[in-house]
Amino acid sequence: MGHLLEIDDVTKHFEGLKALENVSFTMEEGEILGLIGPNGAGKTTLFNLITGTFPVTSGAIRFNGTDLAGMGPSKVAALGIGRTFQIVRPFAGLTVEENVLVALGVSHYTGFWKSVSRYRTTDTLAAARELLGRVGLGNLADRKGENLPLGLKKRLEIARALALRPKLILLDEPAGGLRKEEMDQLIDLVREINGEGISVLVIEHNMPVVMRLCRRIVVLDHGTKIAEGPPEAIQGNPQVIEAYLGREDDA
Amino acid sequence: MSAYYITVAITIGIYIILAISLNIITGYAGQISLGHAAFFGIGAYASGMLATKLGAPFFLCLPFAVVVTGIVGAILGIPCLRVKEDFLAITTMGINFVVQAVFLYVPFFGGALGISNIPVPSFGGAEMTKPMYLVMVIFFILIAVAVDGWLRRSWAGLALASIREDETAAEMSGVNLTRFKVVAFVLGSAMAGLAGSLYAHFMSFISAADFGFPESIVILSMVVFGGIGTLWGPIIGAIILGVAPELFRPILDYRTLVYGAMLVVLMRFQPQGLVGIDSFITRNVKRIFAKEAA
Repeated sequence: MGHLLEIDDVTKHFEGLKALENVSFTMEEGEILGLIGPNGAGKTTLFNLITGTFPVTSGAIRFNGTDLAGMGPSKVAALGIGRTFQIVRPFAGLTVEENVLVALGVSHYTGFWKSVSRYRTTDTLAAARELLGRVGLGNLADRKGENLPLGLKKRLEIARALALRPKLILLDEPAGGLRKEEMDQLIDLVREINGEGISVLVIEHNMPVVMRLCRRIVVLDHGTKIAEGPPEAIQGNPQVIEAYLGREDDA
Repeated sequence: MSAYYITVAITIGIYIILAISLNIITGYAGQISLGHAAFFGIGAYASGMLATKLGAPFFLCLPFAVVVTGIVGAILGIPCLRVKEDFLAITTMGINFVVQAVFLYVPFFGGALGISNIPVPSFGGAEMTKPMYLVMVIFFILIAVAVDGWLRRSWAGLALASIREDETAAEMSGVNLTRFKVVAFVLGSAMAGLAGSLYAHFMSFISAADFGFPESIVILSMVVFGGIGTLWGPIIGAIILGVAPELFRPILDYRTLVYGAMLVVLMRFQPQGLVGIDSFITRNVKRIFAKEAA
């Protein structure tokens, strides 16, 4: 009891391909947990399982004690799990403001009368402005999503995830493709979000970023969990080094 | 106004409702449909048959057509939920052929003879005159525009736009794809059913040939020509492409040629449509208004 997120013996097979095998770990409220591993280790698959994109083959995923089995992505989002994508996907043809408004409407998409009400109200516009201000997009509200540079698209995705008023956000390689100063700003932003009580599960390939953000790391390799612990322990773990660099007698 | 002009105006009015209805499905929700004439036909047959077989008055037939077409739209929308883009285009095209074949080959629907002697609606004890019918069509256009405008401003409309832009990102933002796609299909189909009812009682004779695949393409052309995804685009597209064949009557043999050339030229230079977002006309109208405001 008391875990925010519980990955309980999760297995996922895609027609014979074993994407994940008996993975278990837990996440506590207020934590920033890093999820690392070589390409094809199953990190994004795990994100897709948590968000309900496809069902687990066996095992269970619990969020705040609720089993997420059978819930589709929109339900999981409404429960308070936001996510960003490895390859950014803002709503290209919508304005920056509308991008955030879509997610702000999460509580309006369930009832008939709620979904037929106007979306541009003083309250929702103020909420959108506030979120955009928080990620530094305050003066770009009327810009089309597709017209932002990559770094800002990533911030827009974070603002959109925050608009769900989530307890947990899943960041899929937030630092990928960013310049050094953009990375520093991103780390500050993630810490700020976390400071407001939102837990963060982050997939990241950039080790310095992971080491600076996370107090605890889970390492996946070929669909299994091979290590879990604080950054220093992970860095020295022979199995992790082997997964990333290969065995000495291979070389 | 001569009877000829009124007839053309009523026909264009019905096309305007059809274009607005298809724009909800294809323009707002981004679900391509090459079979919209099927729903136009279902509305026409529902209304025409209720009137001829049971002798129901027009003002009962019309809501009946809207409800029936909406329900059928939901049912036929289900196979469309699992397919996207090119596959959806083929699926909706298939639906059009199936619906048309049912009208043509099932005796209950009159077969090749169609439905004839659909009564002209009466209003205030007398048969509606053509000018009265035109006023009624305009009234229903205004209702369609009102529904459209309300949809654009609602959370439901925003949800449809998010689905059009990116389905995966939309559902991760809390938008239930199934629910809102069905909303778009039902709303668009029901409105096409309304147009069908108006058509049936105006023509007094309908047959399966009126609701084939070419008719679906005409409606889609109107939406795209005017500006897909906008409020005014489908209306302007329906007017221009509705008037064009009449204007080109003197050059009868070359009518379809000119019609096709118009489409090709517009798509080459204004792929967003005549009054589409950021089209030449939209930009200049905005500029003029901005100047006046300043």
